[in-house]
Amino acid sequence: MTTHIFNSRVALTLAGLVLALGILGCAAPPPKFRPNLVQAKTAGAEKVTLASTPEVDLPTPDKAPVAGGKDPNAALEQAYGMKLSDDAGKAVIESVVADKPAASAGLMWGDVITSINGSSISDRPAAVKALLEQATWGKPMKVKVDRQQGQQIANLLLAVFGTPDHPERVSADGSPDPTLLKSFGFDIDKLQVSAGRVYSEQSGRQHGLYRLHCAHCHGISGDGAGPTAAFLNPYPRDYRQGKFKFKSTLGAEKPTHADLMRILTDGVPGTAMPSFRILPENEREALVEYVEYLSVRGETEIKLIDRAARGETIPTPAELAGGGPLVPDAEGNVTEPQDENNIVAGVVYTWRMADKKIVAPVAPSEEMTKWLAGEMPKNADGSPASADSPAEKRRLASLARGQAMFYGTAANCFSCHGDSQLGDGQTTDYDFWFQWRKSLDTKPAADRDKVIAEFEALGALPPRNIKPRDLRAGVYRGGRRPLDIYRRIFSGINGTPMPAISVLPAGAAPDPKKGVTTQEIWDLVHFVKSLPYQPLSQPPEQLEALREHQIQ
Amino acid sequence: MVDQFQPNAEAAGEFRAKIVAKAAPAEGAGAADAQKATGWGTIQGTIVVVGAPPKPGVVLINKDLEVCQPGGHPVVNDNLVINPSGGGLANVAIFAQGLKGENVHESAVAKKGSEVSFDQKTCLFLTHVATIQVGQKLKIINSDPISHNTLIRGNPEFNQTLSPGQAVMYEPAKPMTAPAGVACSIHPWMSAYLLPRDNGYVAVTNPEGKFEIKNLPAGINLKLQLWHEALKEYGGVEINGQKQPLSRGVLPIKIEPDKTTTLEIKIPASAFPAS
Repeated sequence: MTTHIFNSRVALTLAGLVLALGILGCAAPPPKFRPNLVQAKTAGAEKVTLASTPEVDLPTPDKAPVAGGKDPNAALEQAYGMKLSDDAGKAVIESVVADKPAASAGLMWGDVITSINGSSISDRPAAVKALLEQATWGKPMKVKVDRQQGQQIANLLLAVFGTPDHPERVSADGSPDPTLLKSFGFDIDKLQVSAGRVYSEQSGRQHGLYRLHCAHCHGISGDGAGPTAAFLNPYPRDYRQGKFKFKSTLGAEKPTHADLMRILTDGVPGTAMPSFRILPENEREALVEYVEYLSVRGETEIKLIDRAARGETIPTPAELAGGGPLVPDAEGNVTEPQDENNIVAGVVYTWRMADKKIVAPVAPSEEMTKWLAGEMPKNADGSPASADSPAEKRRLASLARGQAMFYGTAANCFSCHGDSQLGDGQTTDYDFWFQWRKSLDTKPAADRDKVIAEFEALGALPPRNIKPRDLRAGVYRGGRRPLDIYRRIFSGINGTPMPAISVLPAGAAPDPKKGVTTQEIWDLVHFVKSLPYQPLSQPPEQLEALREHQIQ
Repeated sequence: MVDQFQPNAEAAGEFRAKIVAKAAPAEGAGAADAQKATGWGTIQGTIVVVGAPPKPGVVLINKDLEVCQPGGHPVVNDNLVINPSGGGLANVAIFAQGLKGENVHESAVAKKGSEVSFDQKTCLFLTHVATIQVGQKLKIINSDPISHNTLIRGNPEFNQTLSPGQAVMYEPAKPMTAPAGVACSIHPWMSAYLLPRDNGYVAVTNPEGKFEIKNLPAGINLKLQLWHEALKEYGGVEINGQKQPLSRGVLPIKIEPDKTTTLEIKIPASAFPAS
């Protein structure tokens, strides 16, 4: 096990060295986006490079096609429903038509024909000859192809999203073309000031913001596995799944722009993510834009990898980047792209709609607001109210209701957060980013260690359990405002085991069997916020089984 | 290993040119030539594991033992359920790929808003592989005396606490090509799958390994997808006595109208990794 950690840390340190050289402006090769090989393995691809050499039975029509002319593609399309690309050096299938023989047999665009009926095919003319002239009409022919979907995905991503140095072009000396990213609503100026190597202009304007402030933890591709990541607990966020924990929106929706700005400005208490309030606001805005860009790129990559791993065809370049521009109407709504192949537009759509999914609760009463702010009830003369006063009794009653909810079945907090709220109720689960590890739970230990080593060799960080929050510590990663805690309880924490709660419609009578009212949630928030100030009389008992399962 | 398939700038440049030119995929007369059903038939059969399968592991129950492990009996992992007599493999999902429009019989289209029940008891999901059509509602029920939360990694993603006796509705938004995982965070050993499809051509094998799909379109090239959570490769599959390796679990088949096609599918035990 240790050798594998060493190997991955050596790899990370080497990456860090390249990064450092890049930051210092030394002649290091430009950083590249690392492909998401962990996803390929998780999706079940036997070969994580998604390369294969399938052989299919291609049915031939009963007689030779009639279409003549110089371009054999007309005849090929008529006979098989496929076209070969112009590259005379290789027999590359440029496109296949759905429901025609080539597509039905399982051939896909991008496949390179390597042999037909056992004889090897070296170039396009040979393929044309075998398909049109030497075919035995009416009998299927065996076509073997070289399918490099992993390489195609990398090329597609480069075509749409550019490089870490240049989001708007495919290579350092390529022609810049920001129109595609602009059509998806990205601000190219912000992306360009965040991307690229670190330097500043004479005016003081800083460039390379992402590499300067973020990449050492979050990685060049936003994979949360930068050079310092292995030494942090918790690990930095992997943006590539499009999942964010601490946001104002419902469930699995994307965070709003304001949510990401808040994380940058306030940091995440209890983690290594610092506050970047010291940066000017325009630099923080540029970084938020770049994080969104990395997340859209990452989610696109994952969707492409999942399709390839399942043996489905990946979208053509035009299909992948189609479906735009996503222009909001008067109310700020965007039309959802209907074509499943418009993957980038589909992902960007979820980001644009985030503002419509904000959790905006009914505000608590004035009295409750005071309690949540830590203000104790006072008499008219300003002295603290006695324990018998109605105001103090109401405050204690709210705390008692909150405590009852904590241990009740509607919220059921104690089962994971523990009988003493120390976060020790259920510590054997994994969050979304380590689902690949959870799926190994049922394997014998030796097999499990082997698979973990394989994942780590592909760039995964050593897996850890997800621990529920210790509510007595008073550290709230998503923010300590009552509204923040309300949102965690109301809609759960996306990507983690923390569930949403069933909420009764406004004005409904309390019914613990069906859910909770908004006021009851505020009572629970009140109770949670009071916990750091409550004495813990004696340590709770741990179940032996929990200790056995915990990973350090 | 991490430098696998680095992108090629030249190829990417060509792709970029295609995007800019909005090169549409070749349309052709695909729609008119698409195959049409000549009638309706039934496929039924059994899926059996041949050879000694790996022993199922014992699950460690570390929470709510009075409810989840009544009487202290060991709880066995349910990711590979094989009938001791006959070797029938349960919880295999078989579904037809890519059928739509006129190739879908009216009996295979569920009434909009109809409910499919999904219950949990004794800290186990009672349906291990549940199927539903887009437009239906999944009624998630908690029949235990303790709370559970049901986490569905589908579209939309869903994660909500259920009190004892509570029922919550979940509506899938899109069909999926493979089942989505369902879990409980409080009791992490609980695991099930939900497969949302856009038609009713789905079957899940029962404890004897039997399945039946009625009113499939006859006379066209069908693609039946087999799926089991513990099965990753289908190279050694035998169908009706003949070796027929399936690429990624897809079985191409053509059936005749008004007839029942029977498939006796045998999977070697070596295809299942140790659990």
